[in-house]
Amino acid sequence: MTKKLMKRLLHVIDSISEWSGKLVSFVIYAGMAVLIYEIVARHMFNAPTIWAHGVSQRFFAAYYILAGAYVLRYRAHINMDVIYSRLSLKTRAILDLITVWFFFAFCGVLVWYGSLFAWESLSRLEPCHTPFRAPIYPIKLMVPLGGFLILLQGLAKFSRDLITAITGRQYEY
Amino acid sequence: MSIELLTLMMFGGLIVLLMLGLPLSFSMAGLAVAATYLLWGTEGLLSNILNIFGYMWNVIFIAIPLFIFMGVLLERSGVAEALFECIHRWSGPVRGGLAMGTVVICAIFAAMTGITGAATVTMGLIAVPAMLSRRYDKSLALGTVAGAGTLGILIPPSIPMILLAVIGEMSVGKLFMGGVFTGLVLGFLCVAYIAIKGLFQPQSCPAHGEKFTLREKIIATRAVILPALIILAVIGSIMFGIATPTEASSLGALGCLIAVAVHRRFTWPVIKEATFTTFRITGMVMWIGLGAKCFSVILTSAGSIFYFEQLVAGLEVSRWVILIAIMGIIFILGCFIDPFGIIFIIAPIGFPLIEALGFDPIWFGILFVIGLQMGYITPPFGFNLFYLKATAPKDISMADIYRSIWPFLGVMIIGLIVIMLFPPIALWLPSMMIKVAG
Repeated sequence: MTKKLMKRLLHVIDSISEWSGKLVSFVIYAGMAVLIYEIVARHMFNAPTIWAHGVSQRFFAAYYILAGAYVLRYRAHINMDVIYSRLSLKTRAILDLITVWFFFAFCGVLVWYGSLFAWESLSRLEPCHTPFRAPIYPIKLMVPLGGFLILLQGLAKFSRDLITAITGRQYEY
Repeated sequence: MSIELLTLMMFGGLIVLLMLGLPLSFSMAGLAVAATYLLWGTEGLLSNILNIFGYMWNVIFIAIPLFIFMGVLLERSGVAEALFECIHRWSGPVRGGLAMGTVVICAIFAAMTGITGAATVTMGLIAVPAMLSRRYDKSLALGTVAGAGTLGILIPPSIPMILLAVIGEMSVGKLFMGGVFTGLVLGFLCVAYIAIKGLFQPQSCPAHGEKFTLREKIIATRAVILPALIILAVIGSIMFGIATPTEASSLGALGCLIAVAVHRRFTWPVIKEATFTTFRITGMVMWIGLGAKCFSVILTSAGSIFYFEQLVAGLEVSRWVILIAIMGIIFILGCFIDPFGIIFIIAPIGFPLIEALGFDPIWFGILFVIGLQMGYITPPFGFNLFYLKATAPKDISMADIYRSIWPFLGVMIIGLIVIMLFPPIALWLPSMMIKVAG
């Protein structure tokens, strides 16, 4: 019973990382369009915008921070695997269970202090300090959100490592 | 806590965590969290968030996903096939012609993309089998692709240069321009090596001798039109101050989407894959940066960087010895850590040191990139080696690839020495820029 529940939970977490990532990955087209609009407006119509760079900054700031969980889902965060990749599955899982606390500490800071940071901005509906004066708090909110998503994926990996460390086998789902 | 102890803890901790297999981004970020807590208590932890947000908010970094996107699109665009057909038709009578042409295609790709992957992957798929089937020496075929593929980060646009420019507080546009002639020099050295090899070992790269009519040759040459336009749009607009590097990257990405469409590859599976792959690579790079930002801010604010400067300034040696030592460290790290990691570990310390020694930071930035190029091809850890293994024919072993890169590593070392001795190769074009853009 708990086994089934566990499988289900890990699957849900993977899906969240997967779909949030796929969704956010299309933000690149919006960012690109805004920048091209700015070039055209400036050179062809002699009418530079005050908002294009601010908007593209917002798009891409969200793009980076929300990528963390998706990258972790595909284990694409770069590590130095010269030695690591030669170890057994079980040893790797055990090492991961030891080092993961640095990851959790970072995620904790992202979620907790990121929330404080975003809340401070939200509570006064903070605008950015350019002539554009558009709200900046929605992007600040992305910091704890990105932290939360990667923490979830990290917890899923932690559970899998725990099972691998005990059984010595790769845990499917 | 003393500066010595803190510095030791940060770097010692980093080495240990990396050895244990924790990804670079989390190693640096986790250590930064630990250090801020030890230094300033819970009050200090918020500073990490401020650093991260400042990093995310940087306008210049926007060029990174867009240049990655260009590379990922070009890889799937059919541009490489068309260019290779062009080289094939013209190179009939030339000994080593296909290999030389591969270098040229790598340089063209380098001028459209900011990473090494696009050129290495496409040439691994197209050029390596083509050369092998014409009885080229296996090592020469593989080495050419692995070596010339690294021009991607030297010839602008270049993702490592964007990161170096931000860390070293330079103009991205100027650093880009520094890579133009340097890249041509390195490309030329690769071609020269192939020519010399052909002279002494004619059987290693025979002329394929297949004949084409002039009309067929000219038709195939149309392949260069699109790349030329994309290069003009990106590098030209930066050079002449029409657009910032960030804006230029959006033009380039549009150009690559058009190139995909022109070659009739504009399908949902291609676009979808390119979009997701771009997201994954960007995430990987930017998350290393997030961690490294937190990590290096501590080194700066706690005084470690200043400590290093004092330490090095106290050495009774020529500043050239120090420069060469830094290049040596970049080279050694290049064997084990990926290039982005090296940038984030070395550059925050390297640039203040170099400026204190009175060297030109743009020139150093260019040398740094050549050092990274070596990292891309030095075993055991080199991106280009893995790219090549993944794309080359099945019977090519990793050992074949390791063996193939040494002459090209030599070429890069010669290139490095040339740029060290003749800085104007790197610095003349930046000094000619019409307007400092970005």
